[in-house]
Formats: sequence, structure tokens, C-alpha cells
Amino acid sequence: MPHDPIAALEALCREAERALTRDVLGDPAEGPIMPREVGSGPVAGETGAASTALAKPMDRRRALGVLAGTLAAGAELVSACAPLSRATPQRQETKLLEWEERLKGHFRLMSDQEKSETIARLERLAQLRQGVDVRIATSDAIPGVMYGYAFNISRCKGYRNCVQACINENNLDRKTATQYIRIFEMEGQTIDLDRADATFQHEVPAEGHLYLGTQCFQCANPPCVEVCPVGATWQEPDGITVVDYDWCIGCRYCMAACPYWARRFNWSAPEVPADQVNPNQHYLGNRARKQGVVEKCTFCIQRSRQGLLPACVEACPTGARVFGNLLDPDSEIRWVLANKKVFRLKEDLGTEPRFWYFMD
Amino acid sequence: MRPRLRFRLVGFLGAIGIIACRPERGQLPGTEPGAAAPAARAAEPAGAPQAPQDTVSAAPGPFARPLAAAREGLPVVGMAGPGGAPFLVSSRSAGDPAYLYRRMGGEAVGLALRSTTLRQYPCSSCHTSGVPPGNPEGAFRVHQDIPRSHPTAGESGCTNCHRSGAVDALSLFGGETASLDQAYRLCAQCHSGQAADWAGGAHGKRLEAWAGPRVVLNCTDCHDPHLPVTPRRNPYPGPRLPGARRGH
Repeated sequence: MPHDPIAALEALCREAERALTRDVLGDPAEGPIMPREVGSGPVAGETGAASTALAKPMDRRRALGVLAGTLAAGAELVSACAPLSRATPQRQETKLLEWEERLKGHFRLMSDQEKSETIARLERLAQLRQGVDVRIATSDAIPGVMYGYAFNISRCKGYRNCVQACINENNLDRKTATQYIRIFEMEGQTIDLDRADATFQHEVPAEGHLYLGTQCFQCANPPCVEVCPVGATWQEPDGITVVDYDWCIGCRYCMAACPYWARRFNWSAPEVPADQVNPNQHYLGNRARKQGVVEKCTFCIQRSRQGLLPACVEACPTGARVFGNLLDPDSEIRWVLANKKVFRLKEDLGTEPRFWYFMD
Repeated sequence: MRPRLRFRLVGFLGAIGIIACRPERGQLPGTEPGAAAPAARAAEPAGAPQAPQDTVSAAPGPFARPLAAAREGLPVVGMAGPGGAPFLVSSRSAGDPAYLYRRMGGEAVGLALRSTTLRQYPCSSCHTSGVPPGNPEGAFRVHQDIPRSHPTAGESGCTNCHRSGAVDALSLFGGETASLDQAYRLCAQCHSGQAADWAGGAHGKRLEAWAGPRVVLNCTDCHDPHLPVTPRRNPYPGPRLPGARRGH
């Protein structure tokens, strides 16, 4: 039998309609639940689906249930829309802003006006929630720039200064200790990540060990973007793969698709003490995330788009990290690619990471 | 029967919701990575207020901002960066190297392994009439804070780099002298491979910005010239990973 998607969809719709009718109003196949005279036809002035539904035969108990359900849903809506009268003005404003935030669109489809409106709301919300004055940028990719990264395995000593700087810079959750960067300690003079340990906690550098750091590699062919069912993650023209935290539905397909375990999920809303919040933020970067969304390394988009180095590069005390513009032939990253033997992780997968490893 | 149907209904509505939420591919700008940005965007930085011209040439494009490190940097002598471009080296004797600390979130981060200033400099404040010759044992007794590992004991020692006639500078093999801010010239005499990597960008550390004037740390900002190995210390805390799973 040939498969017809349209016919299948129509069948599904019919089934859904039948199910709805049966669930709410009783199965017509089972016959009327109550005598005809109880449901005495449409009430004057009622039109459309509601009147049709009410016109159907229905016992009192069921009718009360439907009514209670409707009232509860209405009350929920009202309480969400118009804050409780007992609440403080700050709480009311927060609720209102949160509600407006829920109704906004996809970041890439926003007009400049919509962008500035959501930025104003988010900045005000940060003030209301934590009393922090943040500045959220929406700066676009700089033309003629494609970011690339190189990591010197023989220089890294496992101090994890980069990890700490990343936590501070990107407002990562302190409660569950989210970290974008992993530093792997590898025994012997081999690069075997299967037997490497990222949880080492002893004096470093340990004798006879190599250290290799991973984070999001900003692949040129990112599988995480490919699988997102709602288009909440995409690759920017400068090569950075970003997430619209307000569009993400938290399905975590991207986490399953990433071969490098580069993405992190917020099982609860990230918590950052007010005095440790980094106020220099970007809409697609380190602004406050919420519960149930995925986040990732963005090469510190709030810094790199200002011409600054990412926090991990800046904080590395041994200079193991090189960052720059791949499209500039005179950049340091291009010099490393041209003069050093470089490799990438899992190159056979065809993800084309923009993150290379090299040794002295 | 009923709960099962309800479950299927919720799933169906969810699928409809996801399809409705998915923006059209063609609708989204910049779907193709590397695509040229709209002309309006490119013109945007030109309208930004220009930063005051510093002694160092201002960065092109949207980065016309004064770099803290660039103000302290000194031009590198005798070497060129990638593409033959000149670059700057941080100045260790400039006084308080405040630019070697950066505030990230709620914490000030030190950027170099050695962030102390020179304590006993200039040397001529004590060595007014040069240094008594041929007495390294005496020198190490007086300067107990100087480790005795580089150059190693088999090599000739202090006079490789320090000369009696010019105590405040470093002496190069050809008889030339270099200031302490030009320590890279001294180190490069033996460590030519590292020097080439340093000039190119594979060794050492660039400060502050990937765009604009390139300012790198000097050799002696990270390496103690008398003990050039990286010190051992405890790392910052690692990730909390569940159970036996390690690394991911």
C-alpha cells in the first residue's frame, strides 16, 4: 500500500477529533448518557463551537466538571496576566514582563524595534530579580570574521584557570557547577580520551601526563543545529553556534547529536549570586538562562564580537590557547595552522570543528 | 482506553506545536555561514564614536577602542609577527602591571604565571662599581631568592647574561646589551624554536584582544629566567559528574 502523508495526517486529525468528542462529551457510540430533555438545545445568543458543545446531551455532574475546569483555566490565565492584588508593585511588574517575554518571537525574526523592546524587558527583569544592572548586547557578526581556535597540548598544565574564568564570565550555574570546558588528564604520552580523566583533583602538572581541553568546537557542519526541531540553535555567519534560550523547548536532541558532549542542560534555573553576575552580556551568550533550556560555549560571544579574546584564552596562565580570525591570513591562528602539525577530534565524523590541537 | 487516547492526543498537538514553531529555513537570515552581512550592518560601526587616537595606531573596524595593554606595550625589536607585522611586548619594568589582571564576573584573574614586579631593580643601586669577578658562590649567598637551575651548573653561569659593566641590562652574545623588557632577545639566542613560535603566536600569550594591536607577554612574564619550569599547584575544582562516568 503506497504511503500518503496527507491522507495519514487527515486520518490522524479525524481520530483526534473523535477522541476529543468522546473524552469531553461522552462517546456517541455508547448512546446518550442522559435523557434528551436535560440538554434542551442551544441557549439563545450562544454561537459556534461552545454552543454546539453545550447543545450536546450532558449530565449535571459532567457539566459541573467542565465548568469547574473552564473556571480553573480562566483563573490561571487571569492570575498570570493580571498579578494578584496582594503582590508588591515589583512583583506585579516582574509578572507582567515575564508574560510579555513569553509572547515574543524567534530572535532572528525580530525587528530592531522588537529586539530593543526585549532587551529593555530583560535588563529590567535582571534589576527586579537580583538588583543587578546588566547590559545585554544584540551585536551581529562582524563581516569578514570567522573565529578559529587552537589548543597547545604540550603547554596545558591542567590548572583549570580557563574553567574558572568561563564560569565567571558566562554566568554559569553555581548550584550544579555547570562547566563548558573539560580538561582531560591523559596518562603516558598518548592521546587516548577513552581512558582520560576529567575529574582529576591533585597537584598539577602530574608527572608523565598530558592535558587536553575540550569545549564547543563551533563545527562548520554542526549536527546539533541539524537536529533541532524548532530552529532554536543555529550557526552565525562568524561561525559561532548559538542558542535562542527563549525558543528552546528543552528536548535535548542537540545534546544527543553532539559527538563532543559540548552542550549543557539546565535541570533547574541557573543560580548566580548577585555580586558575581557578569553585567556585560549578549542575548545569544551569557544572559540569564532559565529552567529547561540547553546552553553551550559561544567563544564568549559578548567578548569576541567586541574584538576581545574569550575568557578562557585570556585567563590561561600558560598560553596554551590561541584564538583569532580564520579569514585574516596574518592572524596567529592562521600561523599555527600553517606552521604546526594540527589535528581535530573525531575528524572522521565530518563535523569540521573550528578547533585544532597541536604540540610544540 | 481513555488515558491512552488522551496521551496520543497530547502527542499529536505537541507535534503540531513543534511544526508551527519551526521557522521557515528561507525566512531566517544568515542561514549560510560565511554569507555576507547586509550592507546596513557593515555601515553601522562607522557611525560609532571614534576613540581618541592613542600613541598606538587604533584598531580598524568596530574595535576603535583603547586597549589597556597596548598603552603599556613596547615595540618588539628584531622579530616580526605573522605576515611580517610588527607587534608589541608587555613591559615588565613599567611599574604596576595592572593590565595583567582582568576582572571576570566577580573575580580578578591574573593573566601571567609571574605577576610580581622586579623587587631589587635597578641593580646599579647596589652594584655601583660593577660586580666582583669570578665569584658565583658569593653571588648566590647574597641573592638567595635566585634559584640556581638555569643555566645549569655545567654551563658558565651568571656571566652568560649579566656583565659587570652593564648591570642594569642584559648582555647578548655579540656584546650588545638589551633592556630587561627585551628579555626575549636574550632567550632567543638559545631557544630559537620557541622564539619563532612566540613571534608567530603558537608559544606565549596574547593579551586582551584578538583584533587590533597585538600585545604579547614577554618570556619573563611566565618563566622565571633562573627556573623556567611551570610550577606545580592545585587546580581549580573540576566538574561534578555522576558515578563512574568520567569526562562527559
